[in-house]
Amino acid sequence: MNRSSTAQRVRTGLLMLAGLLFFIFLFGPVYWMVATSLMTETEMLAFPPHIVPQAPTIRNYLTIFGIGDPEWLTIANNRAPAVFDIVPAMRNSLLVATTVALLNLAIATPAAYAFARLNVRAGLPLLMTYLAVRMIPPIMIVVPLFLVMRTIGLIDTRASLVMVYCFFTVPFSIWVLQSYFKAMPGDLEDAALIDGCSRWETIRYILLPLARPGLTCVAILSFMGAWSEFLFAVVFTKTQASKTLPVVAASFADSASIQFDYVMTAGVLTALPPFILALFFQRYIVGGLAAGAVKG
Amino acid sequence: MLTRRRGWTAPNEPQPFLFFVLNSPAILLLIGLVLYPIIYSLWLSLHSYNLRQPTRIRFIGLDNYATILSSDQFWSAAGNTALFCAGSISLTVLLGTLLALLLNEPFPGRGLLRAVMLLPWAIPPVVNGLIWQWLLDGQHGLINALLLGAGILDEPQAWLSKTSTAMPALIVAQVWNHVPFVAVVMLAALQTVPEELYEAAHLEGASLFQRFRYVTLPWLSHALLLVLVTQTMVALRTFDIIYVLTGGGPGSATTVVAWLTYVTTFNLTDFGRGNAYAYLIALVTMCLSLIYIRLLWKRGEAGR
Repeated sequence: MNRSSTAQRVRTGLLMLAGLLFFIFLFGPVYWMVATSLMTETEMLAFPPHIVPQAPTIRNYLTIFGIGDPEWLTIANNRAPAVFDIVPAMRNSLLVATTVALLNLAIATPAAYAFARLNVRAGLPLLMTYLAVRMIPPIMIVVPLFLVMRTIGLIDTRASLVMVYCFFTVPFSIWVLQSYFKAMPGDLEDAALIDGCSRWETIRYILLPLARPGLTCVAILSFMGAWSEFLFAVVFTKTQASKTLPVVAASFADSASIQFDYVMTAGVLTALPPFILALFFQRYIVGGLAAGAVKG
Repeated sequence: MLTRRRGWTAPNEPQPFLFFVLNSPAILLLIGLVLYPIIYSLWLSLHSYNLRQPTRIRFIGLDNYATILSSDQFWSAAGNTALFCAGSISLTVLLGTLLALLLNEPFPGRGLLRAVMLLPWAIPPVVNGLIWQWLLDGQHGLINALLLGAGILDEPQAWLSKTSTAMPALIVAQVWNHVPFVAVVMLAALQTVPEELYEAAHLEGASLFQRFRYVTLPWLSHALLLVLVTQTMVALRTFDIIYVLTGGGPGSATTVVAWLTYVTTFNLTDFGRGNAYAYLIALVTMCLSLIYIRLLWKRGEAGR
């Protein structure tokens, strides 16, 4: 083993260079969104653009929350009245996504347990059906569901979104959770069952505590799915009562004037919860994605 | 094997009843929110059904499909869809795999790259669209400014409203959003490659390229195939970033079938034809899903 250290250094250098390019490509746009959200209108339009904001300010954020200087609020009202839809939309998004995450746990956990522990032959086709459901293009069911929701009067309500998002996320959650449960040894539960524990007790005291990372992953992924969804949201919601953040954010795109300072601020607020979850629960998410996509 | 006695259920005894009880909420959800809409959608697609003419709803059989398949609009959208899929998928998979290979090697800064890597994935597609709309803005966009500053461009380009650049712009935005997912999946697959294989290859005197070609790539083929299929499904249903970035334009340069479906249904309120479009998308997707399911099924049986 007499590899020259020069070759090693060149190799590391090349890897770092590639890493840097990927870093710029992946992180650059995110940085620019955050940077723009901290600019005033004048600075945003400066040429050449200020890569680092020279006078960063959080006034865009304050304006959105309606607690800024009254003068800023008037300007915002003239330039982009949609700014004031953001806070209600944030509330809607939070409520919808949290409910969807909780419902996912409630519906997917028992189903996944059944696949992993109950040894039923009919299970595999049903599992494959769940998988197949994930392949259905949402655009295919948006019209019939729109008509149904209209008939039962649920258009422009958060409930309609919760229901639809459960359809998106539950099959995937079942899929991830059952593969997670299967990977956990069942011996302990078997022993407890023989010792006289009820099935419910084995689940409550053995399986669920051990499966916490898997459950966390499922809750987070379904939260993020519901938080980011756009097609159903834009079709089903009409007013502040149910408009979610992506819908409000997208409504800026139609306008002719340049208002990217507000748009990017709205973007940061929309991306923030998924960002935080992705950063803090990276391990769980990566494990879940890999389990869902690779291990099958 | 345990001898089964009467009086208690052996842990491994099949329990079909409990099985269906535990699955019932999920099954109900599927029937209500999937099965019913799918059938209803098929039914609608066989009708002339425009919300603006509520009195003229009638059954017309396959006419909607015939009209669609003989219209230039559809075939132009199909071409755009194919272009968008081919461009975004090949680039996403290529870059994602490269990123995974890179992250599988130790180098200073790897931890940082791994940490920020998930950010584009976490960005909601609508925000993704807005970010790129701003980056590619024709007057004040950063990309124009950088290219002008580097002397590559003489004057700012309206990337999103020019026929030749609108589609590439869309593809770039899509790729940016999805590279992390591919990288995560490929990295997970890479980490399962047994070290012995590399050692053996090393002993045999294989070059770096040969090691990749004969050890890594075959090992990754399964994950690669899965990623290809999932990415195709994602690309086929892409709607959000088109809504934000180009609205199908300029002209019809970025009108893909999913966008055409949306416009036909909700702007023209032609529910019959809109559903027929939706069914055509579903048909293509279904063929892909069959491949996907077969792959997983095979793997599941081989693993047992």
